[in-house]
Amino acid sequence: MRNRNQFRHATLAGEHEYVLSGRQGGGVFMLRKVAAPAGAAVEQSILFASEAELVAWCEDDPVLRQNPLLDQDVRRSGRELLGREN
Amino acid sequence: MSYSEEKTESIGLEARFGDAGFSDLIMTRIASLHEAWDQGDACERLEQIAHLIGCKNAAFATFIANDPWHQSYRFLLACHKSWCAKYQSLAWFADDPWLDYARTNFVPARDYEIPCRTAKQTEIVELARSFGVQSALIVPSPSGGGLSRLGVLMLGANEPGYFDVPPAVFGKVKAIGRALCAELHDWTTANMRSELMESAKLTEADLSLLRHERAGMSSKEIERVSGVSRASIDSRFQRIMSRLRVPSRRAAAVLAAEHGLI
Repeated sequence: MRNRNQFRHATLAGEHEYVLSGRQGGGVFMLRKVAAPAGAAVEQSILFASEAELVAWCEDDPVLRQNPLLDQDVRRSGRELLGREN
Repeated sequence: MSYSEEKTESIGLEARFGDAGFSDLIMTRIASLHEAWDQGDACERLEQIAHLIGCKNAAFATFIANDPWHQSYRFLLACHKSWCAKYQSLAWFADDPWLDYARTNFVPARDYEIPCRTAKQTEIVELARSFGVQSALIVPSPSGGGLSRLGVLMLGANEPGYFDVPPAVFGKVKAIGRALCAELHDWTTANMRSELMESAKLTEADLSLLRHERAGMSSKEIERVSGVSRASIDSRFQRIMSRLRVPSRRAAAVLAAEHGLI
């Protein structure tokens, strides 16, 4: 399935990155990357079928909780990819 | 008799394998995993296969077991989203008993066959339970060639004892799990290889140097077999280390090997 669009958001220092892509069959794919210099590099691939799933996930994400602007950006991109107006 | 994808809900594992078309359908899906064109596609395919097996939750992880320079975990998550978020907020990857199992075992095991040795391990398993994983099959996938990158597949069902089936059926479940885990491991390794080649922009000459390093050769020995001066070899290694963001030649060679470049 081809992406129809993609958004990339990151913390100022760049150690946390969120890449969101729309899926042709519906839903959003998120690649969450952590590149902590002193810790483990972690990449998580997650599919979201609905805005409710994405919102609940954002609320639990520790990095987004501490970065409200980044949180807003991720949610807005997710909504856009899910085909909803802000 | 062909297996119908519509009747996947509320059917036990034994009944699924009793259907003549089931194994064929699953193996066909697993065999096409290599066609996944990105991580999102791989996630979708994993989710679909897990649902066919009757598992609402599935996760594949790959990580380097014994390299302090490259603690690296990659997850394909087809499971409850809040579970993913809670798990990542804990960031207890090094304590996960199911990942830990894969470090020293290569036989698929049911969750209750894997002991929790610490309070953190118990907490991680309880977290899975709280998001509906009442029974799980853990499938390790080791790498060959002395490499330490491992793959682990978790298939989680909402029903207790879902994987407690007669031995003959469990043998088939293990075979399916192993095939799925191995394909995911292969796909992920190939994906990482492409990413590293693209980001580090290594040349064939660079890879040749890394192969020599991997074989334990010094600059003097490489100079003798390649005809390239020692100064040039050392300079190239410095550039390679910088591109791969590693502190030593040895770490560069290990990284290249773990990603299947050499």
